[in-house]
Amino acid sequence: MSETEIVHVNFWKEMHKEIRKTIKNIQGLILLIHNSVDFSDIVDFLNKVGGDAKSTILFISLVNSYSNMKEVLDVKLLDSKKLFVVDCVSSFITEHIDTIDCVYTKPPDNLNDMKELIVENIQKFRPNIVVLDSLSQFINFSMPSNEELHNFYRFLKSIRRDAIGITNDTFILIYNDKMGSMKKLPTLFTDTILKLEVIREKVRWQD
Amino acid sequence: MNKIMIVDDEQDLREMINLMITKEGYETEMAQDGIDFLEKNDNFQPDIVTLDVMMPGLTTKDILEELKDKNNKPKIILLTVVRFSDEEKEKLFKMGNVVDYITKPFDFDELMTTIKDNSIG
Repeated sequence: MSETEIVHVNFWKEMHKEIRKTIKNIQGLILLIHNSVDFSDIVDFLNKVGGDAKSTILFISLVNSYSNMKEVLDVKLLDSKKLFVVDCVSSFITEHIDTIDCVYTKPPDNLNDMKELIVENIQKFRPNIVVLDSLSQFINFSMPSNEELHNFYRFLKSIRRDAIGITNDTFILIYNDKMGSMKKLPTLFTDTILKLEVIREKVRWQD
Repeated sequence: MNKIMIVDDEQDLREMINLMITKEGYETEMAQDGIDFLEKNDNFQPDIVTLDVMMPGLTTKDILEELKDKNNKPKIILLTVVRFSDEEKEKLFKMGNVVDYITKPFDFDELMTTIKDNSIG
């Protein structure tokens, strides 16, 4: 006899139409959990956010270099969206000069520094969508300490207070579930939690 | 037997890699950042270094530049969550003695295979 008890039951429903509407109209603090390592999958998602409406995206990257992002964007366009990038990774290997659509900087050391970086670049680029890729650098979600969780929740609260509603209305936090499984989702501090599940199969060619 | 240095600011990952490599019979040493690594490099004289690309303090570029002036020039296996472009990867391989590039999260078997492929003797 197993000594376990049910603590929660999840209900699942196929509802792609509703999901499409949800993504098109998302606003507020969004946690996007994904199982993919490809920036191109993030581009697919961003193309669905806000539908065809013109929007400006501030993308703060701690995972993909701007050069890598450009390689992807040359093949897969961001429809009707203008992209500004804060590249926090390229300075590790080579020096770069800022361009009109990219700022190079060292990665923030903690969530406080990250918040300052976000607010500074919101004022600079005036985006209506901010994407932070990724959170996994700051907190070990598979085994977070109480202090780490406290700092993370305080970060989410301050983002809502200081970064949403001034020029932007959508703030997307990207979390790669391969970096560790989040045991407790921050449901109280986010407006929507979405899971992007990319399923890949070998292409079966037919003559 | 080859000597391996594990350089990573994430303590859990550093210790896990160390445990795995030690089990395979390699002599190991750990360092928590670039400065710690450069200090320990002279004494330990590693043959191979697994080097995290994103650490506080010295950048990967700084570390590889510093190594150029050292007597001991270990083979470097870069470990990183960062996705670089092909052009940047080429630059990385031209910087110092970089022999491989593994993206996190990685499979430990993949890392062991890379270490064995680059071991001497």
